[in-house]
Formats: sequence, structure tokens, C-alpha cells
Amino acid sequence: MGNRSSIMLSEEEINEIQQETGFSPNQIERLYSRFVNLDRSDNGSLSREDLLRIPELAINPLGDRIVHTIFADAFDDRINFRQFMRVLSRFRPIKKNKDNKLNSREQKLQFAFKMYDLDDDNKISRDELLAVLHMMVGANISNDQLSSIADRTIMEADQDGDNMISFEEFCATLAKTDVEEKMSIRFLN
Amino acid sequence: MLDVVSFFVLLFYYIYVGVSWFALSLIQWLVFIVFPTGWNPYTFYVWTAWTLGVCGVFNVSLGGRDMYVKMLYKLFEFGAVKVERHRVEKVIQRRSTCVRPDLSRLDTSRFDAVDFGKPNGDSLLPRDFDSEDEELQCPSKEVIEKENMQVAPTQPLVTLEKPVGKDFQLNDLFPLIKKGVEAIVDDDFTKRFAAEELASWNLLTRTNKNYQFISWRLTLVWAVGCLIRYLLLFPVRVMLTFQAVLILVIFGSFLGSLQDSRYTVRFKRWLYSTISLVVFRMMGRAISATVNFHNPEHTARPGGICVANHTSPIDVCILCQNNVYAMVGQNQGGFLGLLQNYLGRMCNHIWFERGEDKDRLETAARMKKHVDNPDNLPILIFPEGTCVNNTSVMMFKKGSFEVDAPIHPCAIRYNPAFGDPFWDSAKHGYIMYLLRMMTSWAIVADVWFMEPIRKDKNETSMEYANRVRSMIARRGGMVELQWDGMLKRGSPKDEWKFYQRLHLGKQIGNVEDEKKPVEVTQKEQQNSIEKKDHSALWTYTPKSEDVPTWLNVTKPPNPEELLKNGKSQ
Repeated sequence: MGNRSSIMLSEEEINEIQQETGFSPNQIERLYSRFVNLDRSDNGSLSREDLLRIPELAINPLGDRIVHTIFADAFDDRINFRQFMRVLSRFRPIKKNKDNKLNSREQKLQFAFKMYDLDDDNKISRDELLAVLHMMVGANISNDQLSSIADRTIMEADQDGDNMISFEEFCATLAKTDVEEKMSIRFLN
Repeated sequence: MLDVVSFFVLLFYYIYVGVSWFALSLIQWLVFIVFPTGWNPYTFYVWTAWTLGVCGVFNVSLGGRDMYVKMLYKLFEFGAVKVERHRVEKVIQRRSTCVRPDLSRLDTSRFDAVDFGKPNGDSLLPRDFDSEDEELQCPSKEVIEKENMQVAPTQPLVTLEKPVGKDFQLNDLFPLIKKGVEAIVDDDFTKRFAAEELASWNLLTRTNKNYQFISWRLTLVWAVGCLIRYLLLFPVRVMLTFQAVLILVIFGSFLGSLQDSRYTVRFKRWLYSTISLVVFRMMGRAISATVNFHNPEHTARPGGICVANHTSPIDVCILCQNNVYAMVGQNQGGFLGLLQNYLGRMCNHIWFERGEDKDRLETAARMKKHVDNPDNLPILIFPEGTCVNNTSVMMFKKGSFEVDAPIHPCAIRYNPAFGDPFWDSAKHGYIMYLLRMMTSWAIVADVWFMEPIRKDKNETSMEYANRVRSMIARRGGMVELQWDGMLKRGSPKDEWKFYQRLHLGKQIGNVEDEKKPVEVTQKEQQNSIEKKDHSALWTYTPKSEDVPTWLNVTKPPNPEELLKNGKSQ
């Protein structure tokens, strides 16, 4: 019966995606069936609601923010399969002998930075940090305490004295963190 | 007024046409037994449908179905080997390696009829082939074990790695991001509402997402299969369903018009039991249901409640092959509603409206009343409240576990290779679903009945429900999930972030505790990871007034207190 999920990726598309993202064909097919599965409206692209319907994501305190970051450069508030794969490829584990364009350390940090950067001005202000902190802990910590945490974090990371954290400062602060491991997930073959 | 009149005229017309077709084809069949002349497709369909129907009435099996299923096993085996060969060949071609692997040495033991349909990660590759090569390996069927797996609304809480005494660091976001993206790539809830992944192609177009030309022989087999399914089986199956529905309608209206009295009660019950068995056996034949009942001595008896996992409305048909039940279920519209209507006229089934609280309470009260009367049939209920794709058992609603009656757990497991029985009600209507069932190969199911159990004295009904659920899940080999299946219809509530937030808040806010020795703090962190099971707190409550007041708190409450409050509700 002609539902759209039966339309499959062509060989060329798989090759192109493999070139671009580094996933293996098996992984691409697996993720494609996941994509189709999430796409409840059956029109070949995902909306924010489609993602937030995953309960495990919806109960994540930062779920909204993650979805927002994924949709950051989406046209029309929908992402197609290619964009979906591009986002996911950032979370591929880094392999030593292979070319890592999309899953480099910098790309991974960029994603995390965007999570904080609510207004897309490439700087994390005190208010933005406070908002993210508030998302994380809800009402469990008093506003005063949260502000002092935000102040201190900015102070520690800020190098040029503008009371904001730029991407370079962000990277410098996290220089000792094992980003490669913490921001990588295992994809099934 | 005119509307009402024309409605009834039309209704009588349909009943008249239906009944006369029914009677005519019956006569035709009887005549044909004596004078078997004049074969044409129509007589063939009528003849087969009525023969099967009569077999259903007398519960006789001619052995055709068993043979058919055995033949299908062979067919799938053949298809599986072809598809796997093709896959390996394709990969090799793509890389244009000069060395062609010796395909005649493929290990095909994976597709032995015995364990067909069970996921198996072994590859068909020759043994001495480069097994490190991930592209050549068969797509793995394993599931990523997430750390600290406890799939429930109380997910394993994210604990931040931090040196003692430090409050917030910029990298504290990473575990949350990682967890979120992991949920997007694969989560345990969403995939339970899509067709189950098959070990290999079962020669139905709809399950082969990338149908492509593989070999002439396979295409030929597929085409012949198509002809058989659509031209041979499908018309007969439709006719059989019609006959069954007509019998249900005729006897349903008759029994419905019979007044309940001291004299008729027994007769009504006897007639209903007979009709129910006949109708469901005929319907079972209409989908070629081949059911293997294990421990049939434990089937539910009057005064008991049969509790089973839910995949589709066909579950009812499967279970009613050898027993009669009073059903408890959601009021449906359309064709299913028609069946419910006539079933309801014959016997005291309990149909209710899912969303309405008043209905829910009333249903519980009616169930209590029902089991108290030993003249009533045993109750059949699917406490998941929604259809799941048969790979897992979701949270059981506790309502049916508050009734004081023995519960007969029952596990139903379908073999997805013959036809995927999951009803995705968001995508297909019931008629569409039935058409898919009738044009697939067959419905093959295993049903396990288990010994009746009762509630322990010091057990809450939620704990009792969970106990029954684990029994069913273990017996049927399904995954047990804490999620409420109803979540597929709506998104989870914001309040459910509460625990994670509380947990994070403790870690980020508790810097004052730095005077404590490091070991004590670490131990405390350990303890908070090994949280107790809070599932009792997270029963899905669809109405806002049901949300306990403690969830709308503004200051952090004491978790121990929360636990107590949740249990007592």
C-alpha cells in the first residue's frame, strides 16, 4: 500500500550522505527508518513536535533547548533527512585514521556553545547562562544562588572583560575536558 | 422525521440484501455438495468460504492451515537466503574488489525454519571473510544498552561528574545533551509503536522498504504469492468475515430483543457462548489464525479476570478461539463499533469512554459487580489500554487490579514474519487494518495461559499490576517498559522533568556541604544514583486536577516525603 515510508533512499543518496557524514550505509538505512518512524505526518521532514514526542527527550530538562539547537539552521522549522544526518554526525565518535570533518572537537563544542547561546549572537551573556541554569534545575535553587553561580562562571571564563563568553573563551575554558568522549554516542552498525 | 424513515428503510434494505445473500450462498453451497458442477470463480469462493465457515461452526480443522504455515516457513527461508546473498554481493560490487567471495559457502543455518523470525546477529558471510569489515556485516539486531538502563518515566538520572566543592561548570551540559541526542537516535518508547523489525524479508511488498530486483526466481515467487494472496485467499476471507458478521448481527438482534428473566438467563448465556465461539472461529479462519495454546487448563473461569497484553483488536479473536469472555474496552466507532454494539446486546460487556473520569470509576464499580456474580462470564481486559507492537509490555493501568478477583495472566506473542498484527490506529482505520491482515500471509500466534494469582495482603494495586506485567513479559519474551502507552497520543507533562531537576539542583546547589569529608559526599552521590523505583508516582494522569498538589511546588520538597505521598494515593 502506497505509504510514503516505502520510498527508499537511492543508492546515490546513500553514497552522498556517506561522503558527507561518514556514516556507513547500514547506519544510514537504520537512521532513515528511524527518521521515517519519527515523521508522523509522513511528509519527509521532521518538525519540533515530532522530536518532542519522544518521551525520553521530552523529560530531559534541556530537551526543548536541544531541539531548538538542532533546528537552528532549519528553513521553515522543519528538517529533512540530510539535515538530520548532518546534526547527528557531530556526535559520531572520532576515529583516528579517518577524516573527521563534521565530528571534530570543534564541531562538538560548537553544538554545546549554541545550547547556551539563546539569541544567536555568538556570545553567552549572563542572562543566557542564567536561563539555561534555570532550565536545568527548575525552582530547586533560589534565584540569588543561581545568579551568583552565573556571575562566577562568567568571571572565570571571561578573558577580555566584556562580561560575556565568546566561542574562543568557551573552548579555552573547556580545554581540559574530554569533549571527544562526552559528546559522542555509539551508533549501531 | 423523513431522515429517520429513510434511515430505517435503508437499514432494512441492507439487512434484507445481506440475509438473502447469506441464505442464497448457503443454499448454493448445499446444492453444490450434491451436484458439484459448473465451477466458476464465484462458486469457488462461495464453496470455500462456506466449507471453512462450517468447519468453524463445528470447530473442525482440515489441517490446511498447518500445512500452509509450514510451506510458508520454507518459502521465507528461500527468500531470506536470496536477499542476504544479494546484499553481500552488492557491497562487494560497490567496492569493485577483484576477489569475489565464494557465495556457495554462505552459512545459511541462520534461516533454519526452527528459529525463523527470531532476531539473530550472525552474518551469512563465509567464515574466513574479513569480519572486521563493518560494511559487510549483517546489520546488527542488537540494542544499545544505555548506561544505567531503567526505562521508565523515572529515567536514570543524569549525574554530573564534578570535583567536590565545585558548583557549576560549563561542561555540565554535556551529559544532558548526550542523553537527549541518544533519545533522538533510538529510544525505547517510540519504536514500540511501529512495525517490528523482521529478521528477513517475508515476501510482502509493504515490509520491504527498499524493494528492488534481486533475482528472477525471487520475483517470480513474490508475484505468485501476490496472486495467491489477493485472488485466492482475499475474496474467501472477506466472505468468511461477512458470514461471521451476519451471524453476529442476526443472533445479536434476536438475543437483544429477548427480555432478561429468571428463565432466559441460562439460555441467553448458553446461546451467547455458542455464538461467540462460532463467530470468532470463523473470523479466525478469515485471517488464517494459527494459534498455539500453551497450558489451556489455566484459561479463565467465571469469576476471574483474564489479563493480556494488547497488540490489536485481533487479540480478542485469538483468545476467544477456545473460551468465552465478557470484554472490557474502549468504545470504538465504525466497523469495530458495530461489532461491539451487537456483542453488547448479547452479553453484559463493559464498554466505556477512555477520557472520562466518571466512566472510569463506573467501569471499576461494574467490574466489581460483574465478578461477584458466578453466573457471569470471566472478564477479559487489556490493561495497557493501547496497542503496542508486541515487542514490549507497557505500564498496566491499575484499575482492573483493584477488583478482588483471581487474575489469570495471559501472554500473546505473534510471529511477525507472517503478517504484522500491530494496529497503528493513528495511521490506518480499522477497515484498512483488516484489509492488510487479510492480504498478508497468516496470523501465527503463541498464547500462554498462566496460573491464576491473587493480590498479596501488603501489596499496593500498582505493585500488583507490575507483578502481573512482569509475568506476562517474561513468559512471552517481551521487554518490560514502565512507560504509559497512552503517551503515544500526547506528550509527557512538564512535571516529569521534576526529578531530574531536583537531582541536578542538589548537585549544583549543594556547595555548602563542602566541609564534609570527600568520601561521605561521594557516598551520598552514589546513593542518589541508586534511587528506589518511583514508578508508583508516575502513573499517567490525563486530567490536570489529578496532578498531585506537591508537583506544583515552588520550593524543593523532601523526596522521602514525596515517596510516601505518592504511595498513599
